[in-house]
Amino acid sequence: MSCRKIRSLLVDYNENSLTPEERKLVEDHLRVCVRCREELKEIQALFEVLEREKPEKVEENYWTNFVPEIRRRIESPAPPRLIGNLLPQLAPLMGFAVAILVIGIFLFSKDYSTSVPTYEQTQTYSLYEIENPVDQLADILSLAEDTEGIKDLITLGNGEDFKALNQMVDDQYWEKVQLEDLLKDLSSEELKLLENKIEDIKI
Amino acid sequence: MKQMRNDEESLVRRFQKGEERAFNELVLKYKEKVFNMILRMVRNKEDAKDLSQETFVKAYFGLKDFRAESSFFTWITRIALNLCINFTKREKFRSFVSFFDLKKPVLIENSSSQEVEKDEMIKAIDDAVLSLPPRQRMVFVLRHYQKNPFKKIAEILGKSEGGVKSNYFQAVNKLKKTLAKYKTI
Repeated sequence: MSCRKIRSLLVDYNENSLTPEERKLVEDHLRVCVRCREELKEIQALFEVLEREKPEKVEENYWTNFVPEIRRRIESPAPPRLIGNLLPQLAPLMGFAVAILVIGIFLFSKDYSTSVPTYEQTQTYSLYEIENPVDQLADILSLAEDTEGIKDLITLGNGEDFKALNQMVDDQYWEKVQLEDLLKDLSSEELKLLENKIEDIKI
Repeated sequence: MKQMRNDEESLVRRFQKGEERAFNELVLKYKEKVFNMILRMVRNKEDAKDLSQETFVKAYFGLKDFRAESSFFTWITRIALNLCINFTKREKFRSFVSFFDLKKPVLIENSSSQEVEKDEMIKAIDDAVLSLPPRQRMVFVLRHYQKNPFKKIAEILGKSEGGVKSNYFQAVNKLKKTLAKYKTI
């Protein structure tokens, strides 16, 4: 079995969740492969680091007041904040971000005929919100680097592969713009900073 | 497990018929699980406290239309995860605007060097997990911290089991590189 395949099993091997046959295959390979043994050590080291995290304690009165606080929020939702005149100024910036998004989807999508499915129980909630163009470009580049995930999808070996890839791209990069929601959370000082920044940006 | 699911379904039905107290019982049943998962996702206690309550508020308004195609807990987990992802993206947007680091600083006074190193390590774990892409972060939290089987994670996220395994594997690979500095073995 190839090192690549063995390495894909090492996390499960570490968690003791392989079948007996898979476990034997991995152990036989580890006996003769130094690189894979090193890889396993790195995985074990990671989980040893994570084990050192201690659970954070929460004050008892938080739990005591949990249900009453939820009831209070249900009965009196927070009022909307004033956004000011930023929407028209941010429109070109958002247009640039959407352009990057479209280029990214075009570059990584192979099956244009696949339609975006809807999520029956989560469609009420927006999954993602648009980020600034620099972050969006970084996300696209990290997807390009994430070729292992893409290769795994492609080597599944059936006609659904490209649809699955397209779905993955759509899930990660098809975002609803909810600029108002983003702006609502900013303080007056932050809104002012943003206004100043927009004036400096030359698109 | 079957009994738990029956209890849950009964509470949801009672709420949908107008019994408000049934919703309170659902909250009491799942509040800590939801909080712990959100805490691992957003890595900040105060934010997790707020988001946990927000999760149940959203659940309240959506529950009358809940069709029980999945369990209530699976459904509320999705709500919580969506809120977490939206929250961290908003925080990134805010930091783009404000140009300052929004991670709340950890006050360390008169600590031994071992304690200082440990706080630094915790912060490094926080940053490492937060830097994972959204899907990988969700899968990692659901698997490593919540100990869910991959089949369950796939059901929660509406993805294939192979896909979530791949996400987990990628998350582990990224984290082991980022946190290599803190290993002791």
